[in-house]
Amino acid sequence: MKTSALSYFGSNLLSLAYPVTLFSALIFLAGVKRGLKGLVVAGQRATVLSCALLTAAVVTLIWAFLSNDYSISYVARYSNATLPFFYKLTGLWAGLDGSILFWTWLVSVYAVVVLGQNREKHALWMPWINATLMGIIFFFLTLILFANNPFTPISPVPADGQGLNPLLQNLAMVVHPPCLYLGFTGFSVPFAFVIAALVTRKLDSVWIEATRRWVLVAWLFLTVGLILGGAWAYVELGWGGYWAWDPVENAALMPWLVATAYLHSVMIQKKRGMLMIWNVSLIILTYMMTIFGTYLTRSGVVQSVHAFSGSKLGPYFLIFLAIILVVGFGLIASRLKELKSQHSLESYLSKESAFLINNVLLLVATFTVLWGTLFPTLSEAVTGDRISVGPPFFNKIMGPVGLVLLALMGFGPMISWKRSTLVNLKNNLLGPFLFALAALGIAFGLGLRQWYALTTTLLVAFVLGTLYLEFSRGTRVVSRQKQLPLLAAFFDLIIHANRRYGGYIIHLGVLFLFIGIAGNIFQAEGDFSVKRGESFDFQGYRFIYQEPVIAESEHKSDLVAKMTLEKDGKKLADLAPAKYFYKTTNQPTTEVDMYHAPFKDVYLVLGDIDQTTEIAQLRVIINPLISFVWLSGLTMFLGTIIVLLPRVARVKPSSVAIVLILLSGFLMNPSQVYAQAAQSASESHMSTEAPPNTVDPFENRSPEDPVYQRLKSIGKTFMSVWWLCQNGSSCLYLRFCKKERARIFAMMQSNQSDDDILKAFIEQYGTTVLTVPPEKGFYIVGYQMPLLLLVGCLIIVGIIIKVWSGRTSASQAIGKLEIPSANDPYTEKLSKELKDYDL
Amino acid sequence: MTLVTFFLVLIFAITLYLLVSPLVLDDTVSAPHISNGVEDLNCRKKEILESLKEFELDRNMEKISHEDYQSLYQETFVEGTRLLKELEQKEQRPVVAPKVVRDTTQVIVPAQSAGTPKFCSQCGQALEPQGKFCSQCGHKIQRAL
Repeated sequence: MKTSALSYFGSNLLSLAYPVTLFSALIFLAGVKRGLKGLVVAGQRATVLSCALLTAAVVTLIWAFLSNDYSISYVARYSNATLPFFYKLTGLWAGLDGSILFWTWLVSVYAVVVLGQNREKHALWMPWINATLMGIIFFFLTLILFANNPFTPISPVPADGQGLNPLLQNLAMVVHPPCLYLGFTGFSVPFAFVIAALVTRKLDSVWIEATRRWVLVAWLFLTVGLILGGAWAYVELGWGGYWAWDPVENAALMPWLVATAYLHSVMIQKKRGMLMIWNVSLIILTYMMTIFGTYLTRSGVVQSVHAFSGSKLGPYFLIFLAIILVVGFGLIASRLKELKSQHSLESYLSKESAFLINNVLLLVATFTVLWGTLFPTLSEAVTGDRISVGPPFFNKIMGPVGLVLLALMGFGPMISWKRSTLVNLKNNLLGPFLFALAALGIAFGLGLRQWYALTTTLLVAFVLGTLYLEFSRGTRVVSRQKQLPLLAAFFDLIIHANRRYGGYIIHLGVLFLFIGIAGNIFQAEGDFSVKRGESFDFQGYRFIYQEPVIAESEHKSDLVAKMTLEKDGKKLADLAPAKYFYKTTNQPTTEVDMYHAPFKDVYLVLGDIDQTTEIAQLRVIINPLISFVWLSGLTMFLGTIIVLLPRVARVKPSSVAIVLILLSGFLMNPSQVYAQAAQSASESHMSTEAPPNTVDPFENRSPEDPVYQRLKSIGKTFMSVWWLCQNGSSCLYLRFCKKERARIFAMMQSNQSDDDILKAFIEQYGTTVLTVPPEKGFYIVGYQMPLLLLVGCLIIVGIIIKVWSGRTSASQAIGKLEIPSANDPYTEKLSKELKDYDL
Repeated sequence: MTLVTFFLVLIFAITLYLLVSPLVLDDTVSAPHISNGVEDLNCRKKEILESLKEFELDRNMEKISHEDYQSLYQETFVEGTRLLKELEQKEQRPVVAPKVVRDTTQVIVPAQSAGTPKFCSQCGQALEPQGKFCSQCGHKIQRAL
């Protein structure tokens, strides 16, 4: 009877948490309104109790996983007896039901932390903050209790569970979802602050200070989560990349982009008291994006490798989104008076304008991602035909937008607030600009010709130049003023001007990301069939296929190709790409192996090994500069931590150095996770769906063979998104999808043109198989929309800047008249405070 | 199962007790103070101090020209003094020297900065602390004792 006890216990804990949450929201508010202490105390206790009950429920579910309680349907679906201990813990968020419970629990933990921090400090806001957070928890508990209870019992009780998807059995996967969830749920705190500030009409600079830190914390988790997700895809999915514009990746990217816009525009409000409505809207929008992302993954609207299938939560999320929209923007509309700007723009050439453009670009990027994600669904609704927009669509918009943002990253820090003179700009930018030109010249001289790579080189060098200038000048000033040696001055500068210099370090991380992305252009890949003992050469490396190995273990059998990697006759490494056949699933998984050369990865994937001839089919991908992507994650992490350093705790440079060293030691962990993960990997992507006896017509053709070339070019016109791979069409040119390859070969034999072949595939799968759909009809609208928006927005911003900067000359003149008199006591006071104030 | 039910009942009872027991308190709490803006002004003051420091850093780094520094610094400084004035009114206690001792200013304010104007009364130029004439227009600086 022990088995169903956990299900019974867990369900009841959740049922109890449900009214307690509602009680907390209402009673706390009522207590404050009525001024009754009893109600306030009860409301605050309810918040803590709600968290305690949810914690107990989470512990119960973990316990159910650890004790193999398969009477609970959720446990039976995501665990089994042979699953290692560590992965049993991850069962909590491996599926839909558990992940929603995990999500809810995180919000409740945040709610308790916020209550502890702000009960006294922001007593006016606290009941409303609490009510908002409890409202969110209440909504999620409704989902859990009425639609997806993770404690739902199953009958009859299976003898063993179905086990965790082998794809998810990876260390990066252990850290990646909690990180993302911490980020997603973290945004509910600033959202709650905004709602509280709007309701109480207390919209001054205090809420900005209170929310900024929370946004940064959530942003940090989201950033780390995204990078870890990329690392997981890279080592685990075996297609050689880390980002595929998959709907669920997009869902996490959208709140990140909006939050990034907020983190920049909030500075304008802090310094100049402008853009209040904008900032409040951005916070609400960020939160909406997190909920929207959850909706995307849990509603079946989009098709994605991440999506939880068979979910019926869509309508619930849409209702919740509608509530946020109406409440949030309704409140803004009714508080327009309080949200009016105190200042206006003074000049075109100011930090404010740069930030405005930055915001517009980030929002256009968000819209592009949103549009591209929803476009297949939208086109299906409008035209009845599901049109996919693949990476070419995203790259077309995001590439240029990214480059302009990169350029702004160079200009922005060098332009001063209010107004900047051209002389200043020349002083600040000439050096970096010359440096950038030199870098461009060198790149060109080295034979670089792709415009994207050249532009990236130019801009990265430019931004690098400005960053160098900022750090070196700042360090010299501090060294001079405080009589410190340069290294100590460097740390002193970072610690004391932490918001500015932490921000620059984050920018450095973004630079690394751009370098990593640009490396993608030079990715080279080749497919090879080799006999045992033979070798092949690719990009200056020699791959020797030593022998095939078949290893049987308790829950899987491994097919391994033992390889040796050589360069210039020198052995570099032993590589062992493999295919794992798990006994619980039919899907074989592909285990990538790679060699990290300086500035490039040699990435080796095993397609198949013929059991009789022992011929191995291998795919080699050379990924230049990819390590910069992981490095960017670490750098952004470090930068954000520096920005978050509290102002009060001003520490000695030496102790800071120690902390930095410890931190960097800690930061090595993700890379270890990544390295370890590299040794155990898999993929559904290359599952061969062909009947076992299908003869592959392309077997033993060299990559130079025109027939093979033609196949490859046809293959490339097909969508390379995961779910399509399962239909066997996308990796045509990979030599792995025998069935589709045989079909194409037959069509080629019967003298059909490429167009005929494409047509046949479109007939079978719909337009959606095409990477770039034909340019007609609704598709054109879809493709050009973000571009139109970008142009439109830039024009509008231009007008805004012009109108604003015209408006100010009058107020500025008035301001100038009020020069404080010589003996003004406030002048004295301010000078004194300034002297004591340490930047 | 009975044990589990027992635990659940226990948890339910504890929850109920914790939530209901404070309700019998008939203490009243004062409603949270409706903000009179002091917090906000303090926050903005901090921001102004930081801006001023950043302008200084920027000037020392030669990131902004001397002229820009002066005008930006002065504007922000003036805004700061206005804020202090407002803050004083809001807090309803003097931020600066109490009125009673007004005529003995020299005792209260540190001597070296006493009466040193920050800006030229003629042209508004920011002044060097020890200068006798304005570096912009040459106007003689009048110093208090």
